[in-house]
Amino acid sequence: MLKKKWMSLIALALASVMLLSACAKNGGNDQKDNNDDGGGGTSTGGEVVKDANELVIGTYMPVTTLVPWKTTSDGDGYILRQIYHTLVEMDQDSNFVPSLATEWECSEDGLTWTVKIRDDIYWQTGNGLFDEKVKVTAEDVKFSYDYYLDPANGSVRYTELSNSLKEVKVVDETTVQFITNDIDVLWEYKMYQNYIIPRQAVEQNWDFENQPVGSGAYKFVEHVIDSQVVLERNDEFFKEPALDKVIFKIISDKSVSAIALQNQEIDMSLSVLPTEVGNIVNKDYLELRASEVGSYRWVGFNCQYEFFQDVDVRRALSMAVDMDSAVEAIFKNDAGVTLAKRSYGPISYERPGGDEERFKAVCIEYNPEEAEKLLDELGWKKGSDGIRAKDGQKLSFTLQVGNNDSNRENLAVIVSSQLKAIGVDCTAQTVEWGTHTDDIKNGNVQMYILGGYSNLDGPYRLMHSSDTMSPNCGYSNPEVDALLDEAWRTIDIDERSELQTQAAEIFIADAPHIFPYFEYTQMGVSKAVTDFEQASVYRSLCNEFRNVGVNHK
Amino acid sequence: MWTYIVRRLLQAIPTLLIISLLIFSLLYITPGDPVDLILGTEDGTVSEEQRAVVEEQWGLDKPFLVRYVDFVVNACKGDLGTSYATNQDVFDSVMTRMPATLKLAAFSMLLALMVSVPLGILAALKHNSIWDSLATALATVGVSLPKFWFGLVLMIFFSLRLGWLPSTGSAELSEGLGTFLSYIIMPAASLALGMAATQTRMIRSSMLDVLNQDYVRYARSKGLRERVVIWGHALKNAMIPVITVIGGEVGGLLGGAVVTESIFSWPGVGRLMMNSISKRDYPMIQGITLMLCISYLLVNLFIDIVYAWVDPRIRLDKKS
Repeated sequence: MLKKKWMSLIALALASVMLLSACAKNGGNDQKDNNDDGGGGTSTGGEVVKDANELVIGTYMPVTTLVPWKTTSDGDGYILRQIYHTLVEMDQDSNFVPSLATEWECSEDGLTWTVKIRDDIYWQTGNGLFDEKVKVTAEDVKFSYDYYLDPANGSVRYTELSNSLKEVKVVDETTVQFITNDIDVLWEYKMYQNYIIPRQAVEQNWDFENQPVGSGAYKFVEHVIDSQVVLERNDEFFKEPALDKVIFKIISDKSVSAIALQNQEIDMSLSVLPTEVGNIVNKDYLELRASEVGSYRWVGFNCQYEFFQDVDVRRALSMAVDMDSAVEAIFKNDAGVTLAKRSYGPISYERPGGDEERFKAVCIEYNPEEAEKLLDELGWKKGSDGIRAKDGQKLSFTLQVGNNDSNRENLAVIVSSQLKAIGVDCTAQTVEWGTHTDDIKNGNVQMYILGGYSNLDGPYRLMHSSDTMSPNCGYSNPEVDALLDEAWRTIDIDERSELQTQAAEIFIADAPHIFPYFEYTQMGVSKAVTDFEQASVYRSLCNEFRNVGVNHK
Repeated sequence: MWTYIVRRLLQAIPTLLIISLLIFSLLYITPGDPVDLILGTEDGTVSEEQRAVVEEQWGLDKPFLVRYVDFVVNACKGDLGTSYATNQDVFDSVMTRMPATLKLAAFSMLLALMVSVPLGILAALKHNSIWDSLATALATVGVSLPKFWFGLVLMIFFSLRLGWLPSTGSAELSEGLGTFLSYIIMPAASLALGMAATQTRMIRSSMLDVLNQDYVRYARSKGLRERVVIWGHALKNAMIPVITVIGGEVGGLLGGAVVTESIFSWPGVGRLMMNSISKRDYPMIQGITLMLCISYLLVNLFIDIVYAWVDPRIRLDKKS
């Protein structure tokens, strides 16, 4: 009797699981079944047999949304750039190059941008929205920008767009004009960020999340949530895309992604951990590609905090840190790959205004003896416990770092130990990432480590005092502000670069940051991938300038 | 029995209300501006005009208590809100991932039982022998090894070195038993290790207790074969406390094996939870936590019912 009961219980449990599994739609959304066509090749045990023209990209970033005006994540951008057009793209030297736009120019007063678009781009068909080829026109461009300008539509770029854009005018079927409120030197950057969407889709209340339709080289096939996104070739694209399929496989753990790359389950891993660099380099079928622009990381002082209001204290502490040795210790690897470059200023060397030689000339050099002397002169004398103090107050503070990057955590430990060596009681503290960024935004830190702001607007965000929401932590210098204001009204790129460099030189001397390094993300790529010299998937894989393919034979 | 079930379900209501208030309050006071999270503008560059629109759209302009009551009322209707990050329905998002989690949970539990039952019995029968020491040592190792580490070791060995198994992803049974097993075996083994270890210890100790009971001695003295004594009399009674442990483990598994699912890119609830936490997607975290609490309560109720079912001495109704 009891045996029967047990058997029934087990049978019931198994049946329930099987039933629920059968009801499942691949753990995904309500789209297509996860059949072999969309499954990223077939697996026979560990050996993954991929189709000849199928590129599998391993990405550690989950897809947050595929709605073009809702996304700010790079993980979404990798996919959306293949499906949708933006007016322009960016090349590896940060120059804007044609995409949907073929040419564009700014009026002499700097307020009108006239953009000419291609006349051979069509909305993707075979999706229930477009049954036959419909051309993308200047009206579609105007519609897209107008849509993003309406706050009710919740575009994440509404604020920056509405601050800049006054009006969009259609001149003819292939020409559109953008009238700006003021000179906007980053207008091209906005043309690079905003996707062109079909008016028909919006009018039909189309499900952009689950069935994105654009005009790019690859069409959306399916999104299996937390698993993969599959795209297929758009045969109506102006040139024949080299790939039959592109599969973005979401592998959140970077170590696992490296294993999958070595196992040839994926053709690219978008970020390789420093600890995995050697494994990748040692495989003759793989290679590393560094990101084109170094990402700025810095050790920042809260300039409003009582100890750090004095520029000389900041300079003294900057002198006490041997940053060359720190960077070498953090990024040393057996493969000899350059994972980071020493930074001497806040602007990436690959960006306008980033000038290594000029930054180095003004950057505070490592000199612990001089640091101790300066602190002594400022009245911060060592006490019996070896800690410096002034007016009964010890030079004791916390260096806060977020928990999302082990390199930064290592940097925090090195900096705090070097400051301790000159009698400064600096404690490295790791906190949850969201709390960390909130603390910096609200000025609730003493000393901190952060990274980013390496985009074109980075110099302004980092150094200008008026950007109250930027992580400048109370730094303010009217001279820097004036130079940046002038730079932001200068269309000529060379002149603007010079102004930004000058602002950065003053900034460096004021020492609101200790300048550690620019980090270069390493991408692991199979040698079977072709035409991928511009190592970025944050631009379309098939455009006027490249046509990325793969040869699995 | 039915009276008992209804009573337990009614008792669950205040528990859930307290839990929901706790979760809601904790997330309310957690740092972070919901408008920034919804718009994905973590640097806070949102105009007042857009902020007002978003706050009104998402009901963020209402006072705390009103928002909490709205949440509870909607939750009663099966509406757990909308994700800040993905703009998708929270309940639907969890339910689409639940089957993957259930599959993994069932398979890993099966694996764990396949190891723990024979090992636990062997250890008890060969008490103080080399077998007992070996089983105890294995159980200790199993409990001590971190799941993520064991998962990575499995992956390096079976995927990278031997090339037998795919390192990440999942497959449906409809794609063939071999393919299905090739994807599920490593995450399931990684999860099963700790459970098998705990269960082995429990079964061993429970069996040792039972084997010293009079009725077991009586069964042996009657001349019953040892196999019948062990499987027919001792094991059934020894399993009663083990069910409690298994119940707790099943409850935990339903919440998704957060680390294991993330390592093996298994598209279950655990991975959703991990992603939601990293993005501070409060409605999603809130919804998943509430659903996990409900799962725990239901599993516990189920275990109590199973007790009474497998052991006729246990009566759930007050009258009996």
